[in-house]
Amino acid sequence: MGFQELVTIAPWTLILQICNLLIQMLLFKKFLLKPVQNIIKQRQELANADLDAAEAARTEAENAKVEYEKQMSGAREEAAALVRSAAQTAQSRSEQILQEAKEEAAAIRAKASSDIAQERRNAVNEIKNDISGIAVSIASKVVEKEINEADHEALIQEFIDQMGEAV
Amino acid sequence: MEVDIHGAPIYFEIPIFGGIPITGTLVVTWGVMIVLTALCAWMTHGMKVRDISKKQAVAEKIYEMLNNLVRNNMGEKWMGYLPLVTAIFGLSVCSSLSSLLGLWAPTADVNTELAWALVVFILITRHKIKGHGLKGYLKGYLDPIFVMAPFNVLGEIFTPISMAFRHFGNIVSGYVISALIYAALIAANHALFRLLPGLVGSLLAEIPILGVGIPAVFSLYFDWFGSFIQAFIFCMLTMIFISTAED
Repeated sequence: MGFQELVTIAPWTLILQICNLLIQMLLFKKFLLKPVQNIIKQRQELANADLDAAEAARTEAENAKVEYEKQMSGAREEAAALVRSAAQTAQSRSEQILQEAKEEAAAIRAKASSDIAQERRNAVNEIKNDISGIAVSIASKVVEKEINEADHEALIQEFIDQMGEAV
Repeated sequence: MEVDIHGAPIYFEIPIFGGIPITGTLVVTWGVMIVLTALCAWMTHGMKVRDISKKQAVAEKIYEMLNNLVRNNMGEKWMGYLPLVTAIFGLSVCSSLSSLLGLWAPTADVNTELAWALVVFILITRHKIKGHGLKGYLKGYLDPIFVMAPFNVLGEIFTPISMAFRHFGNIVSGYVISALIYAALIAANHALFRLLPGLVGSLLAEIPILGVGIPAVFSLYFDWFGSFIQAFIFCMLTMIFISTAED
């Protein structure tokens, strides 16, 4: 087994060492750099996916919140409208009832006053008759058949009518 | 005292193209390549996105460090040179460290570094031509005046040569100094235990007691520190030369 000189140019060694360097480059690329790069890329993608999912969940939650608030305000408005309409109904109903009651009272009063008028008329007529009878009998007692009964009747009737108007 | 300092061992020759010598440089480089590739394949085997294993964490850490190194020194648009820098760094460190196993260090053969530097030189030239155009590139040799052309050419050629020899010189000097220290320790061992009388002295003198431990201290600098720092410097120069070539 021989030895080279300590410092010498050996062309074949030089060429083969260049080849070795290039081969080692490819080997490192294939067995170290590419696999690690792939893993790091996968990890990044995973992290990105997680972030995207979190973002989507947040957006969804916000949408749900907006929807909820919208629904809540809608319900509130509905409730207010309900109360308003109920109050309105009650108001109109009470007014109606009051109106009816007033009308009924007015009708009752009208009927009562007409009854009273009727009664009074009846009473006045009755009294007129009574008075005229009494007057005739008094007068007949006074005059003693000087005047016929028909003339007396007319005279007394006139008197009573005047009296009745005064009552 | 015999100190044997020699180049790469030649194991055999493939008898084609006038004989291709298969040297220790090549054999150990192939071994290093196999070990590195197997290590990478093992580390990145069955990688997961979550609940990563320790070996995957190591692989990712190594990748992150190399990635940052290239990104910080070259910039984002030069990330395509990550495999080259990784390959040079890995081969350089492991080649230099193979001397710890008693193997021939491929980086103690200047052809290894010249091969790397040549690749780098071609890339530098390619980017210079890409950045300035062929005309601008050639014109650069006449800068600032035409008489400077020979020096500019020399300067260009010596870029890869200085890179190669800086690395080679550091590793081979470590190798030479280690060999000298070891030989000196053996000699000192011989001389020291000879002083003992009789058979005990001559027996102990033959056992390299001083050769144990002390070379390891020097190895700490020449092998460990030197290996890493030279690989790092070579990679830094590679990255800086290539990334500034287009300016």
